[in-house]
Parts: sequence; C-alpha cells; structure tokens
Amino acid sequence: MLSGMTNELDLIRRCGLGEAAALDALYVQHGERVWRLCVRMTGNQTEAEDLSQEVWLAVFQKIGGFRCESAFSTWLYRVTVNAYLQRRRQAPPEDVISPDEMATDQRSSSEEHLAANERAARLRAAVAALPETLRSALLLRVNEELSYAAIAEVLGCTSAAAKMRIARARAMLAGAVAEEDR
Amino acid sequence: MTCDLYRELISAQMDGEVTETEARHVHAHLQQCDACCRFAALLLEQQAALAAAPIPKQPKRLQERIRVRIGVGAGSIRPAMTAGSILGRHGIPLRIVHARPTSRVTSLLGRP
Repeated sequence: MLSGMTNELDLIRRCGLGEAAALDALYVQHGERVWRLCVRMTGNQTEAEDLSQEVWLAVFQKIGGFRCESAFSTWLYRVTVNAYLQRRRQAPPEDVISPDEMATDQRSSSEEHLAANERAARLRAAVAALPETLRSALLLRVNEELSYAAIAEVLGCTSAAAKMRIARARAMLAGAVAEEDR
Repeated sequence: MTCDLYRELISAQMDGEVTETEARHVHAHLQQCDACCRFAALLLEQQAALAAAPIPKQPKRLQERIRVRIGVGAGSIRPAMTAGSILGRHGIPLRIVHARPTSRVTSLLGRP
C-alpha cells in the first residue's frame, strides 16, 4: 500500500516535470475511473469521450500544481466534475442514451429483463433531470463510493452540505419514480 | 424531529455516515412510521439499480487519442483497470417486502 502510494507520488512528481511515460502510466492507472464518471455524468458515450479527453488535457496541464494535500483520486474527481460543469455552462446536455445502447453486454429480452430495463431507464431519466450539484454528489457516493468528506473536497462544500445534497437527490428520485408508478 | 429530517438520516445511514445515536433514532422511527419505511425501501431499491447500471468500456479509439495527446504515440494499449478492480461494490439486496416493511428495512439498513 505504502509502496503503491510512493509510486503514485513519484509518478505525479515526474508528470509535473512533463515526462510523457509517467503521464501515460497515470492515465493507465486512472483512465477507467475518469471514463466511468464521465459516462455517468453525461449519460452519453459521445459526450463522455469528449469530456474524458478534456479531463486528461486539464490533468496534464494542472498536475504541476497538485500539492498532495488531498488524495490524487479526489483531485482527479474534482478536475472531472469541474470539466463537466464547465462544459454544461457552455452547452446544454446531449440526449441521454440508454445503457443498453451504450453497454456492450447483450441481455436477454425476457419480460423480466424488459421490465428491469424500463425501470432502469426511468431511473436514469430521473437522475439526468436532477440539478447538477445534487447529481454530482449522488454519483460520487453511489457509483464511486466516496465518503461524505471526500465528496465535500471534490465539490468544494462541507460534509454536511454533501450529506444534504445526497439525501435531497435521493428524495427527488424517490418522488419521481413514485410519480411514474401512479 | 420531522420525517424530512429522518429521511436525511436514512440516506446517511445507507452510506454508513451516521453516529450510533442517530442510527438508534432512525431505527426507532422506522418502527412507527410506515411512510418512512416505504421511503427507505425505495431508496435501497434505487441504490441497487444505480450501482448496477452498466457502463460501456472505455473505447480503444479514445485511449489512442488521449495517449497521442500525452505524447506516447499510437502504440499498443495496455489494458485499463476494471471498475471492479478499483472499487469494491457493496451488494444491496433488490428484493424488498412492501407489505409491512419495518423489520425488513431496518435489517437492511442495519440495526443500531
């Protein structure tokens, strides 16, 4: 564990010096993490690809300023969320595409799966409709399993605010799903 | 305390972010409030569905593009880490009993 952290710190230091191989190693280690969050935040693979590139470009430009005051992954999430919000300020969201269209796994078309897919699609639409601040907090908790303290660091708010945002997001989703069920 | 405040605590308890005292209060409230029990059951169901949502793999063309920008060129791409290898998942049961959910929900949330 310690040697893993030391390796990462060394990689970050070398990235700050502009060493391409170190940047590549960092990307190999964290590329999938960034990609997952980009897909979940945008709900659209094409946009997620653009966002992912923007994130890595920002990482490579800013890593020299990373002071190791937080975990690198937390800093990386912050860069990702900020890049996403920056993007949203410039352009409205593209259409949310169902995971069945995006994901490569082929599922059976049994009634049970169709019903599950329909429920998942409704839930995804409800997530997409959440205000950005609530959605970011919820995704970082549910999908990335960050603590409230880490989410607060990523989003630049207090732990209490992170807790409230997540609870509010869940309540809004519950309300939206209950409304659909009526 | 109002149901809204209890629901904030129910959400925090799902994330393991409550004190023992708060967990006891939630447990006691769920014993007597059917609406909050249904809410907690719905949240657990949602949590499982959100966590299970499939994510496509990072396209190879994207990896190529990013690596070109890094400056390592379009060589062979090393396999990226999988989501499961980075972060473990906590399995949350999907089956929820709606009829009289108190005991089911409190057991899912974990007794204080």
